Amino acid sequence: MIQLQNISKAFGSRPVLQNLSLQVDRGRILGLLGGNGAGKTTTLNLILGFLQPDSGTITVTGETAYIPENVALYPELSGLENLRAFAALAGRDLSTQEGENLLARVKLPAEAMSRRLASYSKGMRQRVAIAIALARQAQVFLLDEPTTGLDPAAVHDLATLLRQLAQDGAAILLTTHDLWHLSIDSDEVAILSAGRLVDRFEVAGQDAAQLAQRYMQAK
Amino acid sequence: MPVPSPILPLARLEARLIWRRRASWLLLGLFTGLMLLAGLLSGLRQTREREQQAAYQKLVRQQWESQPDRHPHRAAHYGTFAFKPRSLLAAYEPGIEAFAGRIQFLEAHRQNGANFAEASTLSSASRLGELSPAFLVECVLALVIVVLGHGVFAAEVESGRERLLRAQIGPRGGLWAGKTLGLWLGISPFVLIAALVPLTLLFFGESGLADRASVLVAALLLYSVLWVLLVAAVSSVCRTSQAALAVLICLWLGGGVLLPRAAAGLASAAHPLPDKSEFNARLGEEIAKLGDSHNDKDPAFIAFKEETLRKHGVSRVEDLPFNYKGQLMMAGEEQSAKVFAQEHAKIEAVLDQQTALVRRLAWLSPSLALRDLAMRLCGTDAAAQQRFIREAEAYRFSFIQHLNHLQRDHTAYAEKNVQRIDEHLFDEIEDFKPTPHTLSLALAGSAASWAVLGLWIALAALLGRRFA
Amino acid sequence: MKALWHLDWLRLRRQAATWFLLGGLFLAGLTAIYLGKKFQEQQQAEISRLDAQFQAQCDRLEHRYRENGEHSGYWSYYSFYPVHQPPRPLAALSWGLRDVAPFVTWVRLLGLEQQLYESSLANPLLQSLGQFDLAFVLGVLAPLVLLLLGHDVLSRDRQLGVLPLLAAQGGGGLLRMLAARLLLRLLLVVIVCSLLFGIAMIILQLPPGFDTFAWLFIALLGLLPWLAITAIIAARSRSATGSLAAAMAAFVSLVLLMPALVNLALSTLFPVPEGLELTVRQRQIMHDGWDQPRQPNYDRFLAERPEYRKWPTVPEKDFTWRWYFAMHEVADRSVAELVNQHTQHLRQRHAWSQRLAWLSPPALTQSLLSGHSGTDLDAHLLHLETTRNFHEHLKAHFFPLIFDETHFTAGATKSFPRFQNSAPAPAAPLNPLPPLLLAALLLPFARPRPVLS
Repeated sequence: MIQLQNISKAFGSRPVLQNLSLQVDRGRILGLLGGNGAGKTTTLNLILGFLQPDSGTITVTGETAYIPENVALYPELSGLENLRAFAALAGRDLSTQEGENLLARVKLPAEAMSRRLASYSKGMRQRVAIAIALARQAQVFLLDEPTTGLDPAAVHDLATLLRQLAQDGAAILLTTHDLWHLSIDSDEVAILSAGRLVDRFEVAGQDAAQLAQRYMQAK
Repeated sequence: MPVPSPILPLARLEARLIWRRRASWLLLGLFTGLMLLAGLLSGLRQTREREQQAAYQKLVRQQWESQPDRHPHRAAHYGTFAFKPRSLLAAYEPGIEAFAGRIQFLEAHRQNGANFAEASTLSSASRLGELSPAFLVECVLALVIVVLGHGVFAAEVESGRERLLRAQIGPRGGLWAGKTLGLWLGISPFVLIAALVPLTLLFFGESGLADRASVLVAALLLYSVLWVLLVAAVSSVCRTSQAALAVLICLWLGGGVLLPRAAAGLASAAHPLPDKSEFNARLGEEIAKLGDSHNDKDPAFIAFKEETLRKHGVSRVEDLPFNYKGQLMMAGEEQSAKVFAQEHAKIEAVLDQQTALVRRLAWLSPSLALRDLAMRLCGTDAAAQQRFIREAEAYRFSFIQHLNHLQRDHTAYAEKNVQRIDEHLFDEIEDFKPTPHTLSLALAGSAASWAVLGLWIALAALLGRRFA
Repeated sequence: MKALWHLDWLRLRRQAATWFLLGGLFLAGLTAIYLGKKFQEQQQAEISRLDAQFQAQCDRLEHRYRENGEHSGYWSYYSFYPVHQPPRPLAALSWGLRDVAPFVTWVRLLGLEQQLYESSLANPLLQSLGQFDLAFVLGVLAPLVLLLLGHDVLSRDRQLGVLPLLAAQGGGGLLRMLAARLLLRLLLVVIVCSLLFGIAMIILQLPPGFDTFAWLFIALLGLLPWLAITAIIAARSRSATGSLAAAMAAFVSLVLLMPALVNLALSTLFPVPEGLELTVRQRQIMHDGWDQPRQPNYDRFLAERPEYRKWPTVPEKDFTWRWYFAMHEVADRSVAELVNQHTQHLRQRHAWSQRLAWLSPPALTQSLLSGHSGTDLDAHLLHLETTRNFHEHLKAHFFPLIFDETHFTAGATKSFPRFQNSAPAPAAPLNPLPPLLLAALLLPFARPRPVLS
């Protein structure tokens, strides 16, 4: 579970976030929407602990996994090898079987598992990164612009995977510009503008066009 | 549940990444090939030259013993040779031997004679270096570590993996230790290949090498650790792996290629040695003052003559119980050897100043420090050379004095230097017996070079830990 | 082309690395010139003192025999004569063997061969570290700077993603771009090298003439194969890191490994028995002479030197200088064949090293430069030959006097021969072909990878 209460953060005299409160419960997916400079990435960095808030409190329960926009893994190693190596760093030794099971769980095609990562698509690398998070029994997933550069089918597959994770009990926060992705994936949308939370609502079946309208209004 | 340290998994990961690159295998193949070639050629050459030297040594001894009956002073000018003891380890690091010579011709009244250095017979392009296994270690091994390791931290930051790595490791830390250890493990096959050359030499039947060879391997290990730590430190400070590579190459070039040459040039410019003509002219002048000990009527030796006569209570040299000419030769040799030692001490002082300057500059260059250690252990360094020259001169002196003694006791004054003595009397003069090179001799005075390696290791480790 | 250069120059001059490398090259060059000056001064001082040293020695002799004089044999036994090879002015730029092989040899009338293998007084540690002369700076460091400036002229833009954009602007494709950029860098390096050479000309007082400029010409020609190598690396590599690694690999293998390997191989394959064998043999023959009947030995001398038939015999019992010096001559003659072989062997190995220098541009440059500066093995062998000739001259001068049992009296040293024809070693014939050919052979391989690869 992620909980932000009255968070403010400024870089020098420039306020980046003002009095932000958010909550993502287990089993739910929250989409953080906003233009460039609205404070999305700062929010993620605060939750990850890379930055400290000027005021307010952040509570995160459960292992946190961060999936950056461009997943950087070792291109010289296969997906399976990457998974096992990174899991080992976190203190978890996976057997080949366990590794393959995890990769299967994130829907990485079996034939790709022992191929070098250099030949993977962006979506496939994302899956390996999620598998790495799963290996650590992550309960909280932070995804930064996960759909940038993915084709619609890959976005759809990602949405399915995230939904699956949420159903297994994860709390998921993702930042995005992709309204279609939000419409098929998120439970809730929060709109940031100039560091303030300007709107927050349940998606509940609204399509991308409706979300766009809501977004333009909120700004 | 306690989480195991990430150091070993990190190390394993790093080593694995190194061997996933095709370049690593290519480099290992090249390095092994070069090492084999250098070891083989250098070993072949040393073995042949050792055999040659042994044969000459035998021949010279045989010639000495098969001399006919001769006047002792004739034998003193016939002279003999001192051969520098050669260890097979010289195949690893030939050091300064090509420039210093390994043989010394010894005869009466002449010190520091022909030394048969081979350097003057080489082509000028050869001054670019000789491919010894030690050279490969000092230069190429370091460059291999640079090429394979420059990205160890910088590439992680550049690619963004660093965040994920840190996230996986969490607050336990160990990124620096793990990756650095991994880099060393990754390049360890190169170190192994490098260490094999001195170790292989042990199997060629020369005894007493094992301790020096193992210290040599230890120095080599330290050197590899040094470069691994240095590469890791630079890689952690630089933001991109390209910048890290550039900085490391500058360090490598500066310390390995430029500094040694510049040090040599500066040392000889700062402390110029007198040239040989000047040295000999001064020596000639000093020796001339002593008088000619071949000539028993030389006025310079009148006091000596009177002293000798007085001591034996006679008034004519003909009445002495021995040949006065032999006695005079001994006195003359002693005086000229003393003058030579005095003059040569001045030269040695300049040589020492030059060496000291190079030593001071070696603080800037680990490869110079390693070279110093390797040369010492292989017995091809300046100290071993000076020891050889000193011992050869001491031997020359006792050799000549022995002959003068024979002249004194076995020839008659009246015989005008044409009397021959029994050849068997020559046989009792023993060959030159140089002190064998030992580990303790090799290590004497090497503290500074170990300290250079230690200091660089400490600095690189501190820097790396701080920034990684 | 002009537009290409303009843009490239704008970028190049804003990079700190450009000035760091060119400045470093310049500084290294100044150091080399300073060391060359010292080198030149020391050698000239050594040579200029020889006359005084010889005179002092003559004075000692005069003093020694001031009262009744002495047999000419004694005078010649105790007098040493300096034979020297003056340096060509260019020797200060490429030292070659001049710092290890003696260029001053003192000889006396005794057997010559045992007098030739003393090395000069030097610190072997410094010699083993290598030389820092201008030939090193221009032959080794300048190519390195060219490599470092030029290895990434395409790969950098490829990495930045500017390459397709630049290529789309027209201007004649990648090959033209590559050529323009590398020529600009070559020009910068050539400017620094020429500047250094100009400074060297002033400081070392090199005579401005064809001979002097030919040295610079060879040094600059030596850059051409490197230009080709840089072009190959720049054209073929994908990333800047890759091209840097390739540049270093080329530098290390061509500058450090190849010449060293050739050197090791040559000294293993063409072992030149050290002068030891000569000395051992000559010594044996010379000393055996004392224990053998004298006339047969002397007859052997006469057979070699019929011009001394005027003195057909030597007494068996009493010492004569005639017999003594004849014996030395016989000993020298007995190893003449060996000396010849030795020299042949050296020449052969030298020839091979010149042939194999093709494998390494810097070795080629060093070999050409030291040849042109009269500091290579040929020059040293020439010095040995000059020494032999002068020794012959000494014999021709003294033998008739000694054989006549002449008694020298005060003032005799005034008519002692002095080494006069002191000419520096001639420059090896200038041959610009090898570096040009090497460059021409390599250049066709510099075909750029396509824009998108």
